[in-house]
Amino acid sequence: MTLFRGNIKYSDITAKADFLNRRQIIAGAAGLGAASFVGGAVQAQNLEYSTTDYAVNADITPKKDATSFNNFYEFGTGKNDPKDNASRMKIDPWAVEISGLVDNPGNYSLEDLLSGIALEERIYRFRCVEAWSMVVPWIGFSLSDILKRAGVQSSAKYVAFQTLNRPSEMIGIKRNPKFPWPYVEGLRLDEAMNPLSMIATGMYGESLPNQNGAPLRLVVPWKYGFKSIKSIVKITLTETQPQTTWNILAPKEYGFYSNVNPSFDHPRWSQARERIIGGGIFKRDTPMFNGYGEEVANLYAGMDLNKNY
Amino acid sequence: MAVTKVINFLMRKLPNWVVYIILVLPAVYLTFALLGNQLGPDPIRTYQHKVGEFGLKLIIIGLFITPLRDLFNINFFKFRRCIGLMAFLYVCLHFLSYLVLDQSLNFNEVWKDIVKRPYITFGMISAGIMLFLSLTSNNLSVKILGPIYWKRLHQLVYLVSLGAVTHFLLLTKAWQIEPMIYFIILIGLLGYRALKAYQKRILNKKRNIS
Repeated sequence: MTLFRGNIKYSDITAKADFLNRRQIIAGAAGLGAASFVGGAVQAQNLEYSTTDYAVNADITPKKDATSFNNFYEFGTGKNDPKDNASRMKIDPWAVEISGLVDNPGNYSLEDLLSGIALEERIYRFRCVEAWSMVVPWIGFSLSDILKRAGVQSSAKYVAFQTLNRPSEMIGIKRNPKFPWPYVEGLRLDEAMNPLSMIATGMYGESLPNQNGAPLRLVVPWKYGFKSIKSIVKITLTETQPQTTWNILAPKEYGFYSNVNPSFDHPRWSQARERIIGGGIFKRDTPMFNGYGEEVANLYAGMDLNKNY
Repeated sequence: MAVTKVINFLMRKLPNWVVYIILVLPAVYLTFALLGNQLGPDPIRTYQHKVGEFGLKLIIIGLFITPLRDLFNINFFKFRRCIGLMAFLYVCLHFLSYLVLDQSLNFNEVWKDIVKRPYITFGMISAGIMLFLSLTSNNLSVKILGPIYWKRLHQLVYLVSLGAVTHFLLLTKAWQIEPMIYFIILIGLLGYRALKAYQKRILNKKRNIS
């Protein structure tokens, strides 16, 4: 861990008070010149976190690639568009509405939502449905932490997520008004409660850049990347399977489950191998469940994954 | 018109080999950049898309030559062969990057792709026709086939252009603006030819009657 951190030159860890008081820091940025604007983007805050055993044995994707090669259609469909356009998204203040079949529904401020939660670093593989992949050191916590706090009722079977829908700050929404905004995703409750499912608030030792889904996003490493919904504003516990954006757009191409599955091709391309972002011109074989079969295969026991794709 | 005269004069002076060299430069640059891993985070795709798009652009540019002469009296006819052959060069690089980098020369997988995926089917048909057109893009072939049959044969480029744009349209996720623009331009270019052919037929009919 230490060695790895030395290699990537994570910045020194900042006192917890600093990142908890992001609002004040940003408000005072002009005067202090500390967290100033760099290229129009709010400079990332260093995070305090612990390390974990969730660490794949592979080269970490260079940070500049992981933060400039993104799919976030709210900011445009090009891979560089999110980095170029996402700085206009205001992430402070931020609130997440937790609703549906929970004991404690409400509109939670980000500070409330994260209070008392210890952040940890998890190095996950990230496999996009477009057959490219990254290895990302996320910082966050298990999704189950906040679901438990919300008090999931016994009738709940699914978790629905929704991304911010703010056209004035998201140029991709303006450019593409016919797209079924807001972006929505969903998990089965047992998938959501699996320890691998995490909410990330940071990566590479710092708070999430906007283009990567600031201030908080889902990360579900055994599913294709589009399941890992960004910039979440709403979490709803439901009894019926929620709609998911890519499934609405192209039901034959993107199913609700969208587990990484090298033997089940996308109708238009093979999923057997993947291009490694920042890794040159050689491809890698994609493993079932993106290599997380040990942790998640039991969730799908008895299911035909070629039908439930 | 003075402007068209100047353009036509300059085009007459511009040797073909200069155009060949200009058009081959991006291919050389991109290929070296790919091999030197200088094409950014996703080099295989970047290379593939760049050479593919360059090939498509050259096909479209080639289709502009006739209407430019008909409507504006601007004559680029001497560059037609050069543009067509260079378009094929980029299509070859596009195909090779798929064959070598994507499929690691696994011909079985390539065949499965052709059968299974419509956008690959369209791409392959277009590339196949282009191969045939490139092999007959020389004076000897014109002589052997005779100008009328040679022209007929090379009108297959209309099919190539449609196949190439369809290939592009089908491979993008959701509906994106770029392939649509190519599609609209192509409809204009092919529509112009259809209109011309239609007018000619009517004219011929009238002539036959009188």
